[in-house]
Amino acid sequence: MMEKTREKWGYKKWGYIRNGLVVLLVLFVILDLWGGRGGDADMETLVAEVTKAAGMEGGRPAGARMVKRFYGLNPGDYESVVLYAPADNMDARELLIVKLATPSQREEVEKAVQGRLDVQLDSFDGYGAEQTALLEAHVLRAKGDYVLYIVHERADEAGAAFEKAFR
Amino acid sequence: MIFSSIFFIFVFLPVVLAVYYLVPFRYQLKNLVLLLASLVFYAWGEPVYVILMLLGIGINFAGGLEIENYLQSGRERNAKVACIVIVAVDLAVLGFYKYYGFVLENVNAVLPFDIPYHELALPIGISFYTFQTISYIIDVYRQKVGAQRSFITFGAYVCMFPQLIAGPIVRYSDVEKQLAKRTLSVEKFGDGAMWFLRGLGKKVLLANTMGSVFDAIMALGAANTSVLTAWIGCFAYTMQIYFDFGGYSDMAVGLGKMLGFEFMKNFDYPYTAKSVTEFWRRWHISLSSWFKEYVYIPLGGNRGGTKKAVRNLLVVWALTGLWHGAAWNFIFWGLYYGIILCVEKYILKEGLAKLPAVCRHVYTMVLVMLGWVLFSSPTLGRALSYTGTMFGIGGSGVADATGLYFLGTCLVPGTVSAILCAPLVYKWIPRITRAREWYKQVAGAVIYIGIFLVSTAYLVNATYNPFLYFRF
Amino acid sequence: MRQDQDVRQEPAKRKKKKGGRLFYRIMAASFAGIVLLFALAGIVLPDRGYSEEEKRVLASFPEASWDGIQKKDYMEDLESYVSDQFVLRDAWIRFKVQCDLLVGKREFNGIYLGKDKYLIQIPGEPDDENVARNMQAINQFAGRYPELRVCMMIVPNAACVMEEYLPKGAPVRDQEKDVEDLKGQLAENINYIDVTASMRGHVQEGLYYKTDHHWTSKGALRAFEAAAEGLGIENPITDYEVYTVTNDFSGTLSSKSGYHKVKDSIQVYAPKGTEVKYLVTDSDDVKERPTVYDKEALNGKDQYQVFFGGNHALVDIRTTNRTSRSLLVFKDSYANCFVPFLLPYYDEIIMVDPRYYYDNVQMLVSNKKVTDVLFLYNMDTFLGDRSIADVLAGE
Repeated sequence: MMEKTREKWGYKKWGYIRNGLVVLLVLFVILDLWGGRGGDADMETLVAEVTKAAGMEGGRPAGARMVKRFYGLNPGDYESVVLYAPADNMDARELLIVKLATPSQREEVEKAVQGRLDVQLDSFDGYGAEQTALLEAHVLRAKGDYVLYIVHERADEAGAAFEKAFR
Repeated sequence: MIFSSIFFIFVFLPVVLAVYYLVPFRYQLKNLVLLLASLVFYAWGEPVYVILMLLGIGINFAGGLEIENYLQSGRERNAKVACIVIVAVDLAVLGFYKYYGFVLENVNAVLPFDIPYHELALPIGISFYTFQTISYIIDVYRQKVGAQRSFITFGAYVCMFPQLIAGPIVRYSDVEKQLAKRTLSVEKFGDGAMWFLRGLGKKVLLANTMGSVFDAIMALGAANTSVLTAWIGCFAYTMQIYFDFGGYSDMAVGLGKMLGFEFMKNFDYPYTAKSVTEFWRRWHISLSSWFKEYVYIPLGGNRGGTKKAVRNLLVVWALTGLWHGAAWNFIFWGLYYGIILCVEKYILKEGLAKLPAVCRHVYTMVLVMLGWVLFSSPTLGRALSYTGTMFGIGGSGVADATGLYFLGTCLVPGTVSAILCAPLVYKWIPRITRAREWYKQVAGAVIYIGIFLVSTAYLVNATYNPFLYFRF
Repeated sequence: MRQDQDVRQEPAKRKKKKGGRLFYRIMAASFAGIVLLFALAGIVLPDRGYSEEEKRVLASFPEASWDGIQKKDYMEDLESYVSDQFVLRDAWIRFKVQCDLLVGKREFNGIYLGKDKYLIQIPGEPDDENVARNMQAINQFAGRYPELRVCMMIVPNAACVMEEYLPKGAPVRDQEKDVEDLKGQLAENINYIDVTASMRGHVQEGLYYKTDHHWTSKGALRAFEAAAEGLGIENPITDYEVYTVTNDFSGTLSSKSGYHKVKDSIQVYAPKGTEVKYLVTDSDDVKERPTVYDKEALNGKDQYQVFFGGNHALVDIRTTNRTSRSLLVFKDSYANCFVPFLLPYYDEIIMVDPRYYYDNVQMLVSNKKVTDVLFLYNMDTFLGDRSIADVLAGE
């Protein structure tokens, strides 16, 4: 009698565990799909958090003309765009945060950033080893409606701050 | 992390081996070390999907015990349902991560509106470890093996780092005993080192070199490609993929030996085959035998008439193609082989065997090389235009200076590669390494150490170290 | 079922091998030994910050962060750290290049090793649309100022001019065809100065550096001789004093290819029989100085920067000439060793590097009373440029 109930519990137990794990698996997949969508954030806090993390609070955002120059993007096409341009031509540090108007713009923004990065890498090729190193360590992230691109010694910290600023 | 990297060889491997050799076999400590090392190895490339893999291991571990319990208490039906459910879950995860983007892309192409989706990253090695867990569940259900009662041992089996990301697809029945007990010795470690270095050399010195030739030729564009150049490119890719994958398998075998395991061989001189059927008996053996065992035979195999057998073959080969990647060219590549195999089996039959060996060999290699064109092309159109160039359609003549340049650059590595496709050299190696004379043995070791040092130099300078089978 | 027996205590059932024991033992010992040796050496030896041979900042030990691990950044950084700080990195790379040479490889990381140890960069594939956009902007610019003499001189790269030095049959882009394409797109009022043929006639004089992607002063001189007439310079000076400022120049191509068997010398040319003096300022250094050369660059990482101290958004050279001609040059780094040859012929020369220049060009033209405009690039940079059109449009 005892034997039998234990045996029964045997396959039931493993069945329960298996089902429980399948539920967890489904949850994981849903979270994974959801995670790409990201959360919500507002531009002001994002810029504040990111510049703070990178230690760039003192800087002033560049105008729309520079966004067009550097990235070939028309700021009018997006919800909002903030750019901190390099201070001079031997400086590679820059920061771009774009709030997309529609999710489909993400690809074009990432492509524009890639183009800008290639141009910069080309300009510093053979001249500025430090700048090249900075450019190579750039951070390009997309989350929610936002795309972040930063070239800075503290780019990793800025990237983390960007992630964190989402609710 | 890939084996052919400075980090793996000079950081990960020594740390793992040191700990592995220091802990005793008792209380499954070695298996535990192996499991933890494998999880770190996997998390290195997939810090998030390591959770997915762990859940998969858990489900299959529990599932195996569940099925065995059902079977032991005579509940065949329940066991069958559980088996189907677990295999379905495994396939669903694989299918979802691998084909979600592909399916939606094609659905969107047909529909008048677009379903928005964002591309999911394909978890590395998912195709390999999923096939391992499926084989385990089915074998438990078929009572070919007993269910594993230790989670550590089961986990170590599924995600054992030597074969985790690129095979071979090790079947549980093959390593069941080794998981429980295996021997370690200095000689076995040395044997493992030899296999590892052999694979490393194949990958770093041959596959990467041939790969850079292939890439340079692909970058030329059809208008600048002569017939000669196109064939050199095709030859380069043929060599690249074999030494890439074969080298990786050798490294896996070597690492396995260092850890005390013996894996089945995954390649058996595929390019010496004298028919396409034979080629597939020699290429990626663990995959084709998996499909044979778990798809072809359950479908009915070649029983039930020619019509059914042809259908079964085509199904298996379409799936084999699809397994290689979520893209049309892989499906066509699979079907291409399905059709050739049917033709060989039902039309050519014994006719092929009557031809001289050289003709059979040329026939096989031409078909295999054309297959690789299909396999390597990003689109079907590109595959067709490249094949056209190989036969003088749309290229820049039969031969040109560029073709001669590439002939020059790949003369040495290409010749070495071609020679190493055949058993000749490998048959000759044991005569040195196992010779009675001590100096021959020393000479053998010096050769391998030389390969190691040269490979290290190439790895330090690794601007070019892609790994083809990562995608699958 | 117990699985945790220590198998080493079991009687080993080994197959009897006749020989081979020694081989496997040597393999085991040497593999483990080599791996441990390099692993430990990597821990013990100090890290390097900068690689002279690669002209590159080497990766340093990354800081771990949860975000970095999750995003794989940390792992990638750690891998590049280990690879960058690998013991004797430079020696390994030289060894690798040596092995490549031995088996007949002639292309290293996008660079051909040609005859006479010439390293020749493979020109990239241009984005035709972008080139057309730049050309259109240049045409419009010239159309806006019909009174200016606008010239364009796009210097073909070594891969074209030194074609016969390339490895036999090595595929490269046909830059002669590019020249024809550019000419075809150019408005009639712009004078295209083609120096390809005259440079080809002098290739054996060393018109390009062996280790760098730039042309030499000699190359610039030969181009100047061919271009003087087109630029409207009558009776150009033909007599120069030549100074070798360094024999120890190892340029970007050496770093990129890993081939370090040869060094270049950099020369500067001083025209004879002219009294011209000048003052130079640039956007990065407003202090006036009486030279176009930056001696300090000779101690730096890139000795080619001896010309003007490298690229600047704007360089202004005011001379003591009274020719009432003022030249505006839109340029890349090829101009840096060419412009010194122009000094005796203009009152003022303004060099603008559109990659870094963000101000208004129209203002510049009127403020500086510009009479001549020259677009001076090397072909590879020009076809890849993404800033000319924007600067000229000058919103």
